[in-house]
Amino acid sequence: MIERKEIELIPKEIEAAKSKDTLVRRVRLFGFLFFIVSLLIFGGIFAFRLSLATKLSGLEEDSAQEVAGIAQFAEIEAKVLGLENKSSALTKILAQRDYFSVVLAAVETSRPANLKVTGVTIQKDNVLITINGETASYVTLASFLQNLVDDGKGGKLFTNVILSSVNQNNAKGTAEFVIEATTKKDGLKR
Amino acid sequence: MDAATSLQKQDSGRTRTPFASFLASSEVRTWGPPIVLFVIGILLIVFGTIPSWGKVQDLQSDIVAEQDRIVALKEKSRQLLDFSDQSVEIDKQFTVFDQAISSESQVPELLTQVQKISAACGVKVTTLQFGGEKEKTSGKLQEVRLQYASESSFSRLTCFLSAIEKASRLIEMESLRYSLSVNEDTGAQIITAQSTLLSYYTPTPQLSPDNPLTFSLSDERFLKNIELLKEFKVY
Repeated sequence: MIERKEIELIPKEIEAAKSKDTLVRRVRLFGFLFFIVSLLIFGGIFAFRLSLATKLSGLEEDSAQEVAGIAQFAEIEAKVLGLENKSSALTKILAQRDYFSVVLAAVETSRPANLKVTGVTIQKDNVLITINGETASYVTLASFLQNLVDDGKGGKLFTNVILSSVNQNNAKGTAEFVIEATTKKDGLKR
Repeated sequence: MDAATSLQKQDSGRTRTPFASFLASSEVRTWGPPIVLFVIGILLIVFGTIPSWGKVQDLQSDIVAEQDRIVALKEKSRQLLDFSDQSVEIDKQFTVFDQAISSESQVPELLTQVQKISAACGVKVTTLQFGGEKEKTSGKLQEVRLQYASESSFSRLTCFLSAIEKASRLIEMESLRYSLSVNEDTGAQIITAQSTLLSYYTPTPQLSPDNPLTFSLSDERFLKNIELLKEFKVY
């Protein structure tokens, strides 16, 4: 058998030149296509951006018209907002207000006839109230202390009373006392 | 001398710079155009497309925000139109609420009201002075302070406290201290009271078209406040 071999007749240099030529053509095509595609993308996005900018300026014109329309109602808007502010302020003030008349009423209701309340000190948002007074009888003072926490009298407001000092005034023949009364939480509110 | 050398000599009349020689080289002529196009494409993407895309996204969000704003503005415009139809009622209620919480400090009117209340209860005012203003909550509410001292009987002081609590212009007490003294000549008992009084006002609101209106004349709390104010006495 005779062994058959393929004989390459084209010289190697020509083969190399051909493949280089193919590579060059492909690279040129890729470069051109890449440029075209990036140009198209850029152009498309730029055009889209322009259209969006136009749309936005149109919307801004619309909102400017609305703002101008609202400005015509400035007087009524000021009144409505003022009314809203005043109403919410009123709710807040009345909710946080301490009614001091409640304290005077509670002290007066609890006071026995022959006991004199010579002073009261009340502070807003402070549950402690100082009551000064004088009486000729310790029994009356004890009665006053009891009345202050009695549910039918001062007990509606006061939860606890402490006799913080008693001084005997020999000249007047009376005992001068200081009571610290604690009110219920929010007891002065309505 | 061969033919090539003689051609070079003919050409030597115009001398080529190294850059021109580089450009004229066959490698540059072969690979240059695709590489230049590729680089231009990259530059277009980096310096044109990417920033434009960012801008497009900004514009899209601006458009959405502007559309939302227009909807809100239209709603506000519609509400204001409704309110303008009820302007008589709004004016009426504003006057009532303005009496309770004024739009300005109106200190002289406040002092006059306190004096009138004292007089109505038979309380003798010994001190009544303006003690300054203070912002209460984020510019919406201002506090006016008064220093007050008086002489009266216990029952008159009680009357004064009750009247203050029901006065048309809201006044509240921050503190109260009273003491009983006896007039040595007449033997009469006098209650000397000292108090810090607080009143309030809401400054005229700053208008902004973008601030929505949340107020309604049929709001439950507002209606309740109208009823409360009816119980207050004008001095």
